[in-house]
Amino acid sequence: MVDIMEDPLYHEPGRLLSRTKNIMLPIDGSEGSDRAAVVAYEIAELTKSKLHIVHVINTGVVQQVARMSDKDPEDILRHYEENGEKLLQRYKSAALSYGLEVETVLDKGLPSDRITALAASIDVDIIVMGSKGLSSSRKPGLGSSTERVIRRINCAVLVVHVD
Amino acid sequence: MEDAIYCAPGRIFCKIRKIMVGVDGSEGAARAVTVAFEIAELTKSKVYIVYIVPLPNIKHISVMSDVSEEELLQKYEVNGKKILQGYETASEDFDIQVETVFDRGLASDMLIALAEEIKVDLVVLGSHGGTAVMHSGMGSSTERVVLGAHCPVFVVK
Repeated sequence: MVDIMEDPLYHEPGRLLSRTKNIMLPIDGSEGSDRAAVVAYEIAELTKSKLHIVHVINTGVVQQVARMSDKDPEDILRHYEENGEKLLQRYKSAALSYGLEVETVLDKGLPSDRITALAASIDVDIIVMGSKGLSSSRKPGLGSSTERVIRRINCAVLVVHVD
Repeated sequence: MEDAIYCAPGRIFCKIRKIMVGVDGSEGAARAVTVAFEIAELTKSKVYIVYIVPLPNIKHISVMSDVSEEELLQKYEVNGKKILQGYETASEDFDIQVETVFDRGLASDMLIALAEEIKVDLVVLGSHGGTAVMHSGMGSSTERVVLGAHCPVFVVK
């Protein structure tokens, strides 16, 4: 057991929130990401941070869709890329209306892996995520991507619930 | 007189009035407390600083160390109250209102229940408390609260 009985630290010297410079908003077009988006715009506004809006195309899903529909994986991927770009632009224009500094990132891979890697390379301070994404089960609890990101990430995470 | 602030639907920070932060004297808790104080100052909210005497841990320690549960409970209570006082003093650096809450039980269950009872708008927690394993992404209490809380949860690393 960690020695918390002796001489605890009551608050971290200096301020943490006011040092925030980069906020990440991973989106998939679900209700969860819509809710997280509004909160992310708000925090970015409050802390005057740059907002990085990220969409990750799940390449595993793309392959599966191609296999099940007898279509060319390249075509499916192109379709996902077009949609992803559209999605990013939708969130970006909403963010711009708040006067925020915005950058969008379209990536491919396993979403939780890519989000974690991007957060590290951009040096993100806070990630805002919905508790559930597009393909999450309706059961109570967290969606798998959100859960994996919280477990692995090295920065603060704000989880906005979808009920 | 209250300021009339227009709050767009879905925003949370403009609506936050009550913030809860769970503490245990760990470094993670100190970081969480700092963030809670900052958000409280920004949003003019009240902070509820909660310490839960970990009854399951006490049972465990008592079995393993031959110290009676009563004696351990008393130690934890004295320490918990001292810790709460420390955070209360630390809050004087900020322009905020705080209230300390002292309770007993399984920390995660108690935090979820208290958050609902007090009707808090945001819970702030450190990713790792005093007994968490550092190589896991998150301590078990924090994970349970993220899963079970009715309101947004801010996990501070």
